[in-house]
Amino acid sequence: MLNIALPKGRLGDQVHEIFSKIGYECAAIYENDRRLVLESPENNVRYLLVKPSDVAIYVEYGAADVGVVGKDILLDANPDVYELLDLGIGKCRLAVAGPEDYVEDRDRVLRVATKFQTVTKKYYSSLNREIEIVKLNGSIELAPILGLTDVIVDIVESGKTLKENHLKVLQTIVPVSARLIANRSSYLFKNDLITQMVKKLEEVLHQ
Amino acid sequence: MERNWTDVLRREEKITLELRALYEQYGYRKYRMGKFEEYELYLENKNFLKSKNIITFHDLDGRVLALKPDVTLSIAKNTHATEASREKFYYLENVYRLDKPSGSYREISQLGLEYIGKLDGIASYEVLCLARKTLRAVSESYRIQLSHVGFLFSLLDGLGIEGPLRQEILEFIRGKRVHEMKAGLESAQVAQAAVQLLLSAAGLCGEFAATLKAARTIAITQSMTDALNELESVYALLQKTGQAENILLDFSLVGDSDYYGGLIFQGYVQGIPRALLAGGYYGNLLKKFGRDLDAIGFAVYLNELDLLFRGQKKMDVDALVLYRESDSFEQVILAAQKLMEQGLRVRMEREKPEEISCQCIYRFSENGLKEELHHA
Repeated sequence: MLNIALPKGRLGDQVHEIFSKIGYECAAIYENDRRLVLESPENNVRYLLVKPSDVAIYVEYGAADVGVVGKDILLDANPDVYELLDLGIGKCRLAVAGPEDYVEDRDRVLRVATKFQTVTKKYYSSLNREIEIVKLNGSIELAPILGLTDVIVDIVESGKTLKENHLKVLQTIVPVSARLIANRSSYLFKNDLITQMVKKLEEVLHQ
Repeated sequence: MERNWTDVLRREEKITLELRALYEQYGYRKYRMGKFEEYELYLENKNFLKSKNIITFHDLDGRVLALKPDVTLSIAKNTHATEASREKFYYLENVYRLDKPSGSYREISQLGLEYIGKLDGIASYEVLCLARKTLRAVSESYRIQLSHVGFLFSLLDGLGIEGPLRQEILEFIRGKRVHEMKAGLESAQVAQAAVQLLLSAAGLCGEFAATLKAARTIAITQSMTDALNELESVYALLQKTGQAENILLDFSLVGDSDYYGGLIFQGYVQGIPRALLAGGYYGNLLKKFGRDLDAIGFAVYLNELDLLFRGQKKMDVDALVLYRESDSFEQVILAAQKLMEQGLRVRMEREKPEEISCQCIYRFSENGLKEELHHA
């Protein structure tokens, strides 16, 4: 039995669609009820529906053998797992954004609102720029509008939310997409299942 | 009936004793170390440490001391081994490290085994064999990943890859992020032939013989071939003596500190999400301390066993003897002792304590003990 941690929501549905094509369909997922553990004994698979930012934790601690998680979260949490495949879905980028008329004053400490603290610190230290981080968990776009911070570091998909709030992308830090990750121990004890899965996924993704 | 004292021990405690007996059987002596070490040692050798967070304090003479985050550095510094006389010992010590998820320090119980001196085929064999037996003592379902750091390092040397790119490539390989490595190498404008070699190297893992054969096809330097020969000969010896079961070759194992410079291995058992055992050759560390010696060893992270043996807790006591103020204390004591002699764990109380679970409850009366009905 393979335990798969899926991010709840649209990305999870997309992933299940891909996994169905390689024999890991689980009919219970379509029922859309509140269950968090869904099993398909005939396909030898169990799905755990978890918060996207928790997928890597479930996999690192072995509660799930494999999981699908955005690169943004992997970069920020840096879990000790194998990252086996780029699924090429859930594409977006981690970017710095600020007011449309923003001009950076390089003689001041830059104030940055974000929930991606590790990536943000690393990015600015590579630029040798002193920053002050304000950690927010949502509606990050508000911060520069209210003057709470100069800029934000966040996920940008279409840029629509930014535009509606009169913000624009200033720099792209890194492109993001969904990755297949595996627990180090599971990779050894369920090696056949996991390597088969990767192989089949590669075939499906290249079609 | 005499009670068997080993019944009191938890599974992990029994395993620890079993492993000590195993190491003694192979002629390793137990070595007890101090808890503190000069902080300077870690400052000077920080590349050998996984985490830079160390608990420090001032000794009365003003020296800065540290609670050991690691045992091997102290061993390398203080070893009495010489070219002529080898040291073979094991230790059971606590180390203090930062626990990443909780963001606080943790005491970690570590059982380790070290072989210091001039190594030969038997030394590597013996340490690997004991690593395998260690895992086997914990669970029937275990795996060892074996590798040789020299293989990848020499490939990178041969391709002239240094600096940050080298570190990046090692990180890619460690995380099996082959898809990212390809893009990373191309954007760093590494030659196509080199990219192919590195991608093949990153994918080398699995059954020993087949993986070794595949590795031979990309061995472009003499040191790479030497590394593979070393792996092959130690594996052959393990195989001939029936000790090669569940040993896999995996070149993605590159270690996460500068400790290791030769053979390297990690052991897993089913049910524990992280490596239970890690070890390898660390002669370069001894050379850094000015000793021209070799060393190989491993550590077992005993804390991880906790994950495996959860839910083994039995009742707190077997029998609870309840008495009243008015009872004859002498008679109560004698009655309880009688139960103890039968091999039971007995607790005397006036009332049943809320948080204590027990197999049966006895109420003392002048006619002796009477069992009371209760639901555990």
